[in-house]
Amino acid sequence: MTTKKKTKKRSSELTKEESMPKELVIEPVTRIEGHGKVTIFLDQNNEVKDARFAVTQFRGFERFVEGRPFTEMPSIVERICGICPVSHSLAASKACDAILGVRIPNPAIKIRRLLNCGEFIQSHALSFFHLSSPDLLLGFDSNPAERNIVGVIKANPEIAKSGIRLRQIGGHIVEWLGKKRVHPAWVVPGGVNEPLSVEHRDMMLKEIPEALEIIQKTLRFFKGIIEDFRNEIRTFGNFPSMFLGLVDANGNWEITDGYLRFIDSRGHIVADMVEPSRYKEFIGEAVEEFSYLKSPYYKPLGYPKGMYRVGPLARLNVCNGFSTPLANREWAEFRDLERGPVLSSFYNHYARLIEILAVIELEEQLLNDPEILDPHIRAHASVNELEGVGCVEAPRGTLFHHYRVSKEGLMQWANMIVATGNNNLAINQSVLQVAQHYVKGDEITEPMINRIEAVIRAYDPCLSCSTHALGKMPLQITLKDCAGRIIKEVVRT
Amino acid sequence: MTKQKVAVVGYGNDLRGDDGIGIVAVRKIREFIKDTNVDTYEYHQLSIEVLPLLCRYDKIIFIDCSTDIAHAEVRCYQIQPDNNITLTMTHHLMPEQILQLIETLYNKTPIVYVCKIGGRVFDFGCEISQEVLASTPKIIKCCMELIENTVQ
Repeated sequence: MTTKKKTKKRSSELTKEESMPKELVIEPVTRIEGHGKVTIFLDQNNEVKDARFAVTQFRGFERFVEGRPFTEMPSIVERICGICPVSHSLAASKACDAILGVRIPNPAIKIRRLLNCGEFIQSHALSFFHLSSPDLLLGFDSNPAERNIVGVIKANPEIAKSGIRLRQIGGHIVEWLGKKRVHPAWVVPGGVNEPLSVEHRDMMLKEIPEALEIIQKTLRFFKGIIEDFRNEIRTFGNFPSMFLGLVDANGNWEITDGYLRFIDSRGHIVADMVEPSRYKEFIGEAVEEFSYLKSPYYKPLGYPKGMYRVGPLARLNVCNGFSTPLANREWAEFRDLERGPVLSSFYNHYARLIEILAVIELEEQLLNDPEILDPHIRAHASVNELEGVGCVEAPRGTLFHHYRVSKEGLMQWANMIVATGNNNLAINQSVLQVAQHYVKGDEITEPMINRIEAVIRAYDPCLSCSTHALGKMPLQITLKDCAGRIIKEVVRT
Repeated sequence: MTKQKVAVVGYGNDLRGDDGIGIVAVRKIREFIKDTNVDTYEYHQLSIEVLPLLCRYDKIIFIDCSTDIAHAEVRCYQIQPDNNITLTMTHHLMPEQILQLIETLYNKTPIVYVCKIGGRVFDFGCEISQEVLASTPKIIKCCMELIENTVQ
């Protein structure tokens, strides 16, 4: 457990060694997508002074796509990630649609939305059931050797099976549309490659009742245990910030098309119905030397004051409601948690479950729309614009792809702002908040490490996406003194 | 007596040279199979969501490339569940873990075989080395025998 807190000394009473600030580094962070590192800086009194979450991978997709035909972009950028390739292919295709200067056919719009539903189901299920449920079911202080998916399987096989089944159902949507579960290469500039078959529509429809039953049962279960996590709710990224998400023309929750909406920490809309192509007017991108992950911020407020959050919690905070009945009812209950926006990032887990419910309902609506089977699924054109922006909600949050091309259609420049990047400032702030609450003295204890990791996991960050880097997923925690000397280090593989 | 249901699963990354031999082999095997009780599957990797599907089978045959054995060598053998699973992630499971999880979660005990081919070339590209390709008939024969239950 944590060490006994030392009596504070005045600065003038400290020896040279004592007066040096210290750093505690956690690397790699586990049960996230990618490779992260946390450094915690202690002051002379061993109190947490600052904390940094760093991404230590670099891959450079934005550079090496230069010179490639823009039509290849959806397939290339899918390779950024094995969890959310669909988000990247959708954002890329939308940027390419803009370069073609076309409005894609309605059936293609709908079928792309259906694909995004599949990805949301499988990605959110992975995050909740497999990555976070060990903490939620077994407890943050439980035996770390058992606090994993195997422990969940032993403790609650039904929950484990539900998660696996939801993953499978989400994966089916992607696989049956794109012919591959990972990197389907089916979304293309101007639309999609192939229409949805009657057979696959019927197969998807058949799975909906079970998916609905699983998610409603899980929501009831989660709402029943949420009060057990009062401490985590209070300390896991619970601070005022802005929020960003897509909304539809009515201000309702939206994940594939729509407009940008920013709200402030009191819930006031500060920018609304913003065409995603105008993102640069609102979002600046800062770079910190300690991380490959960029730090986007709300431009009018400057850096770092313009910190905002994206993802499930943000989407539920920015929208006026859901256009599907069951999710809308859950959303209303969720928003009753606080008067203004729900601020604790711990509630991302709750929001994620509501979003699974929403996409299953949306999937059903789409599949019951006869137009979903229409074979008119692609618009053809050559280069009509030299620049295009594509934006979707990835499971982890808002995703932007911005391309410039030559007249011949060769990529000249690309910029991608991914969900985890959008959350970078907030993740740093959240790690600091947890560290200030749980880190006592210069000891690194397992429950402390787990909570630091858990607050990062609440954002379900994808570090492979955020640096467009090849993902493994370990975390390192290091404790350093003020001279930069490592005094403790824990490495998780 | 009810006929056994068999799944043949080829897995690997077909963009990384020899790693794609599992996919190549299962595609070939598909051409030979006439029995409706035998299904074939291709996976990039074995992830946890294959469990609800594979738990329905009495016999599962996994075909994979391996770096543990000699280049182009073929080995087929029955496996036992891995009782010491310590998964932190669910991106990639071993056949032994699949078997263990099927037993734990679904109360089923399929007979599971692994057919391995020794690979050496894992560079980017779809090409499989000549030596490994030359061993493909051997692995097909081995799998077909397992399907027909002639190999113990």
